[in-house]
Formats: sequence, structure tokens, C-alpha cells
Amino acid sequence: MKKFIIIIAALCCSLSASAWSRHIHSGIAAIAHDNLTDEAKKSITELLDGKSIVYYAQHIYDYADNEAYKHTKVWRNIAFTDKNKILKAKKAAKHEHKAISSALAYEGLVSSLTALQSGKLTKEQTRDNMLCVITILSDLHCPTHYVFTDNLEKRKSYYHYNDKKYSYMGYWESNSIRGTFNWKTNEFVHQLSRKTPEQIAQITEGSVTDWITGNAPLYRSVYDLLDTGTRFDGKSLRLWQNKIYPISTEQVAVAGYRIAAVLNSLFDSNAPQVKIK
Amino acid sequence: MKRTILSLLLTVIATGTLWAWGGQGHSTVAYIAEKHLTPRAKANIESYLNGRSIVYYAAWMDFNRTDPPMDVTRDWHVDYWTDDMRTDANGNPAPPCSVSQIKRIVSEMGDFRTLSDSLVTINIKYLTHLVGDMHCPVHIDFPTSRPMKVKEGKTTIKVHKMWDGRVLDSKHNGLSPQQMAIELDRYSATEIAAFQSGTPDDWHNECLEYSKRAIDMIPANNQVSYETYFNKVIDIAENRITLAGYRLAAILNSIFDK
Repeated sequence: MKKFIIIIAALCCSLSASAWSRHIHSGIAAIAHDNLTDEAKKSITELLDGKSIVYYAQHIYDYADNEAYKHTKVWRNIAFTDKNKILKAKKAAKHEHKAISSALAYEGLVSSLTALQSGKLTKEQTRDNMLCVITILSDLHCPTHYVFTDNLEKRKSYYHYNDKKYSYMGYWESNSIRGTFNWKTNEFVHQLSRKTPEQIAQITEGSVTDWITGNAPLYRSVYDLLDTGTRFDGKSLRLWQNKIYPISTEQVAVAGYRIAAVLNSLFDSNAPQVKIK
Repeated sequence: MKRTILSLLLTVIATGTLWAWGGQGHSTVAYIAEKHLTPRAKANIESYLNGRSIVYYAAWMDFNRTDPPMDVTRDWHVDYWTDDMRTDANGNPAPPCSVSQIKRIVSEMGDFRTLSDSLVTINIKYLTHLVGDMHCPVHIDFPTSRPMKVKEGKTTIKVHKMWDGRVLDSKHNGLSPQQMAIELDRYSATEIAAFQSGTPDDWHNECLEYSKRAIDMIPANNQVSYETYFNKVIDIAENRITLAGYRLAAILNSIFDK
């Protein structure tokens, strides 16, 4: 265990994780906020001293170097086996490839959720763990946060446009939406928070672990949407983007609904309970 | 010469670089329209869009313009100078244009419930886009069409490119389409009703006048600065976008509020 912690601590100093960009994190949090029950919203607002979760959408990134959040630097990505199973933390942490050894988001999420469900936290601890859940669950609906152990080369995929080279991972962080829609936070809500109760029930069915493993096959296929080294012109770039934005916008919506379901479960005793596993 | 200009225009259209209003303008049109849909029309429309808003699809025709199955729609984004729109700037038979397609779709959608879901869905996407396009002053193929440019410092900018988003961005940079719609959608119910009256042909004739104005502001030698031109046309751009929104709502309400 001590060795495991040392490995994590070492990684904390060297990571440069990719993530949804700030505007997408805010959009997801806004969709979640829009789907909170009144009771959950009230409790959360009290916890955040009057602010909403949108304000804190990527708080753990903004304060990643603070003592309170340093340990969360390895809680960005999640590693999967070739069978789309979550790679166990101990196995992942010992892996020689940094992309895998630093992909401990699932452990972070489980740890924060378990702490929150215990009901034994101080206000500050509750707040910190809740903010971890919001950001991590948000990121776990971004395909490039899924590291497939049998497919690591594809994480280096790139394309050319206007004689410049761009990373595919980087594209997903922001331009997977911004390349098509110039949305501000309120527009994420207007455009994406419009599912029917039946659709929401389907999206939030099962446990948090079910959601994450359920995402894996789709996210694996996302890596196949780019032949690395492709040279795009304006036309071909647009047609390629047409394949991506329907996926990214849908995943952003799904993330928002699921975060709302978790928070409602934690802060509204009348809301359906969401299990971790 | 005219043929060359028309060929150039059509070539540029075919390559997808001419996007009237850009995504920002088209989304603003759709936001304004959405706000003026009746609840029943809105619900009917969204049932064909899998719950999504018309705004989501406002620029869909541009995004998919170069997709081979969309070749048939290539010329739909522009209109023609002639009143009957049966001929182009050179007197040749005109291909289908925005107005003719809007009229065709409105007629086809008379009893939308008898049509296949996929046809209704794509017709909604077409209408949402084309009503915006037909209100864009530089989307009319004039007999006097010429490569219009404005000066900005030592460089020149194609006028069409300005209208593809730059005009709006210059004044409203930082505003999202939804925010811009809030700023522009400020007319009274009486004024809106007046804007919505008439037919697509009437609206086209009105668009012609605005197009002439926008074009007449460019001297033959293109010696006008971007700033001077921008200050003259920004009101036209905002007016065209706002009216397009109201008229799109009128068309969609007439089809789907039943």
C-alpha cells in the first residue's frame, strides 16, 4: 500500500493530463444543476456558500497544486483492458506506461463517493469530495479520458490542417464542440438539457460503475474516427467534424444527467439512490 | 466576364466557403424563431428532431454541404436577381434557389403527418437554414456581381466573407447566439406581425432592395475601408437576421401548429 501511495505521489509531480476544456466542464455542470431536485440544490448551495456547482465545475483543476487536491492529479483518466474491463488500480499504478499508471480516476471517484455516502465528513470534506465527483464524472464522459491498454498508440493520433499539426486528444478537449457550436454555458443547458423523464431514467439506470464500463465500447470506437496523419482541408475537416459533434454533445448531456443523479442521491433523501457498484 | 464571375461564385459555394451569416448568425435566426413558435408547433417540430431544438440544426446544411448526398442542395443557398427567378444573372435557366425551395417545402409539408418522419425532419432542417440564407444580402446573384472587397489596413477582405460572420462578430464578439437573439428580438407584437405578413416572394423582393443597398455601398474600385463599410451595413445585417427569425417562426407555425 505504501508503495502504491509513493507511486501516486511521484506521478502527481509530473502529470499533464488532458481534460474537457473549461467551457465544457461548465456546460456539463450547468446541465447537472438544471436537473437537481430542489432539496439537493438547497443543500449544495449551502455547502458552496451560496454559489452553484457551475462556479466550481473544474475547481479541482484550478487548485490542483493546493495541498487539498494534489492527490487528485491522477484522477483524470481511467485505464481499460482489451476486454473493456476497468484495469485494477494496483495493476495500473505499476504499469510502465505513464498513460496507464496515472489513470486512476475510477479509484478517485469511488473513494470520493464512498466518503460522501459515509455521512461522516465535515462540511469542508463534503464540499471537497463533491467537487471531485463533479469534475471526475464529467471527465469520465470524455472518450479521450479512457486509456485502452491495448490501444495506446492511438492516443498519439494527430491530423494536419492548414499545414499545422493537431493532436486528436486535444481536439476532443474543446473543439469537439467548439468546432461546431459557439455555445456559452446557458446554451449547453438550452440545447442539451431537454431529455424526457424516460430518457433520463435510461441514462441514469444502473450504478456509477455500470455507467463507466458502459461508455467504454463507444469511447474505444471514437479512437477509430481518425486515421493518424490525415491531412484535412476545409471541406474534409468539416465532414470529419460532423461525425464527432453528435457524439460529444450527447456525452456532455449524459454526463450532466448522471452528475445530477449522483448529487440528488447524496443530498435528497427522497431521490432514487445511485449505487457505486 | 459575367459568366466567369458566376462560375467563380458557384465554385466558391461548392467548396463550402460561402456560409451566409456563419453558424453564429444562423443560430441567432433560429433562436429568435424558436422564441416565437407556438407551443404546439414547437412540440411537433421537436418530436421530429429527437427532442433537439431547431437551433442545433441551424447550420446543418452548411456543415453537410460538401457531403455527396447533399449535392442536390448545392445551389439552394442563393437566390437570383430576376423577379421570376427562372433565370440566373446571365439569362440562363436558374437552378433551384432558396425561395423556390422554401415554397416547395412549405407546399410539400401542408399535411406533414402524411409524410415520412425522415422527410419531415430534413425539411425542418432545410427551412431553418434557408430562411436565414434568403435574408442574407450577399446571397443574391446580381447581374452586376463583381468581386467586391473592402480594405483593412494593407489587406483586402472579400465582402462575402465579411457577411459570413465577421460583420456580426465585429459588433457582438463575446455574445453567444442566444444572447444576440435577446438583443435583437425587441419588436412589438404588432411590428412582428407586420414583418411576418406577406409571402416568401414578397420577402425576396424586399431582400433584393437590401442587397442593392449593401452592394451600392462598395465603390467600383473597392476603395472603401472595412470600418466604413461595417458602420453602414451592421444595421442591415441585424435587421435581416431578426426578420429572418420572425419569418422562420411564421412558416414553421403555419406548418406545425395543427
